[in-house]
Amino acid sequence: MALQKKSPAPVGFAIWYDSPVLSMGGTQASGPRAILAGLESLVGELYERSGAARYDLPRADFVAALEQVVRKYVSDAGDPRRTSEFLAGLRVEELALARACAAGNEKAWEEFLTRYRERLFDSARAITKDDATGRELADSLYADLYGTNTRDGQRVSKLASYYGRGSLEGWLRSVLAQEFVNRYRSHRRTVSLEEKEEDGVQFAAAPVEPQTSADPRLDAATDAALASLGAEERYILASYFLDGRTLAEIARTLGVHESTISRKVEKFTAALRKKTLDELAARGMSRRQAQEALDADVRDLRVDVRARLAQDTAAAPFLESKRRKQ
Amino acid sequence: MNQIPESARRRMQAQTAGDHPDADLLAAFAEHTLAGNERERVLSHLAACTTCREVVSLAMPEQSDAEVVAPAAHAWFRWPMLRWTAVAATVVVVWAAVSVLAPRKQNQEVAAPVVESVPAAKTAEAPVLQGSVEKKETPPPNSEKKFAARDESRQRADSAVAANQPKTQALPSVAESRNAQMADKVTAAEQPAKPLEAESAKTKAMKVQGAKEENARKDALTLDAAASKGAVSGGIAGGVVRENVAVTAQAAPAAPPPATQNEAVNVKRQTAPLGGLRAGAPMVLSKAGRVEEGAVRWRVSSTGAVERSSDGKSWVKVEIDPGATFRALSSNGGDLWAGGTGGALFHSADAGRSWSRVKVGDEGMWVTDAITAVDFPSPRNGFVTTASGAIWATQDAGRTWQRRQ
Repeated sequence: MALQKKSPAPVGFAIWYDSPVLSMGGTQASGPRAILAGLESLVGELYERSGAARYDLPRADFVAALEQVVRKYVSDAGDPRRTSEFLAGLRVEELALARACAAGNEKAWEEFLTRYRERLFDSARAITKDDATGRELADSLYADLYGTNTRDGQRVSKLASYYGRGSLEGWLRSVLAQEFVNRYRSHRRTVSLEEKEEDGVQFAAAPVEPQTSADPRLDAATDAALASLGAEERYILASYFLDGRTLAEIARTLGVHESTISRKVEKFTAALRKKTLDELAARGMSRRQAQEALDADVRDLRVDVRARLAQDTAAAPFLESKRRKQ
Repeated sequence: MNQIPESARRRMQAQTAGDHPDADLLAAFAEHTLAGNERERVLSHLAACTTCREVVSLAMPEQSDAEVVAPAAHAWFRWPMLRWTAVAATVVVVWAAVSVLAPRKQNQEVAAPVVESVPAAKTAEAPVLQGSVEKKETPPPNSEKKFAARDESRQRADSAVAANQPKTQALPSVAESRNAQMADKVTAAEQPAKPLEAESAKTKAMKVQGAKEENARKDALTLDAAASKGAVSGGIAGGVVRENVAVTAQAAPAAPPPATQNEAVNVKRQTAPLGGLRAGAPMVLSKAGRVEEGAVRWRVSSTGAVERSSDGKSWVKVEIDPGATFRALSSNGGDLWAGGTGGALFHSADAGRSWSRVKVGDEGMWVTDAITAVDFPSPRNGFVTTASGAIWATQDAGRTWQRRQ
């Protein structure tokens, strides 16, 4: 049950609308129905637990959905123990509801609307920070969820791309957030010149040149130092220093207290600096040279030089006239 | 808050992310239900992808007041603060010792011919005995015989000094034992390390006497510091060992020491068997007087197993419960908490040697969702977060739980 793109997705977002093959960690199964072989009792238990029968979702469709999820996320799907552990962690009840909605079951839709209608609007308003925009965003998502587009004569619902890894509500929020970012970016790309002038922007800014260090060893050392950090460490540093997120926001995404993030930011910053200095020293710099290279920024140098030149040229006539007076 | 170098900021912005994770994975990440390798891969992508970080941030559920996690209690008693407190205390103790002892040593050297050896021996003995009283709080077996033998040996040495005779056979043994003590307590510059034969008998007697007095005063200082502050770290090795002995000697009776002249040194190096420590394991006496088994690190592996490592390179799986897949771990010294699927929460109070299952819940309603986050800033206070977003807190090391959300 693969979904197709219903609208041209911005570059880099294709995977959110794609077929299962492109997902992270996903692999194609070796053969049909081979993945769940030997797990019939577990599958039966999951089918009962999901309540799929309430929505008239046949067991075969439910099993097909499970196979699709396993193919997508379990790299070693041939291992029955690993597969059963993975299946046990799925939100099968919400998966069955989503698949039943995608299949057009009215009872499932009633259940879905009862559970998620208000939450969807609330989430959209929270994301857009605007009531009207939020409602517009939620309505557009409803259209996608219901499946206004057809392929090969069949209605294609976005709910069929829910795989039960997180909660259905969390998935809806993620899809809303993606859609919002998509629209925001595409909107920014299609702003007319008139609108720019209204905003006080008459000339487009020159494209930013890729900044490179004067000494290539600094970039190499920085890359090596960053590579030595763990994924969570880089995520925390990027969220804090690049995105400007607060400690509390980062803490919520990682499920820890913000004081923990505060300590980690301090620690990782010091570790990154020390590691960069070590890498610079390993590349032949003395400790003092490494410190200077790390503290100096090529952009600062450029600005300083320009400012200094401007000051010198401006000051010269004044000094000359002053001398004449004396 | 420190800033990262501008070069690091530039290179982080220039990083290229691969394929974006789908909405399912992002939702699972935001709900803290991803574990192991999958979580690492999503985090690795997020670290390089501004767009996905923005999506995750937008997709987080709105925060309610109840969701605000209580800050770590007793922040002043956490290790970062204790570390600096210990350093400050060490500086104060060393400064006090130097400021008190240095002028007296100078006075002794200046007035050397005037000092009588017998009164000096008496003044030196008094603080030493005071230190001995401190150690006698938990008298080990044969302690009376031990101290009697020590007093006898010291009296012999003192009488030799008092007689002002160049007994080169007896004096080196006293000086050697004192040198061994000095190696633990004072810097090398203060030690009378030169052979006594090269100096006159009177000078030798004065040096030995000076060393005795220094030792006695240091005994009083360190023991006073240990008594008033408990475990206070020392900047010099001797201070650390001595303070630890002061603490451990009160904690458990020491083994019967041999009654020799170097008994005082032996007493200092005895470490009472501490509960929970593996026999023969390399013990490290840390600056704060804490006993550690090397620097043990803990983690949850990509397969959901709890692992430990002593060097950060090789990791050994710790068998806790074969049926549980772990997702979160909290380590606070030797106090460990591990949470995983099916509401599994395990606690170890002995650095991972034994684990006990702790049920999370209230009034017979136990948590069965996966535990996705565990944080115990202190052994008694902590909280866990479940996959459904519920937060449970405890203030009595897991006996009772209160739901925060």
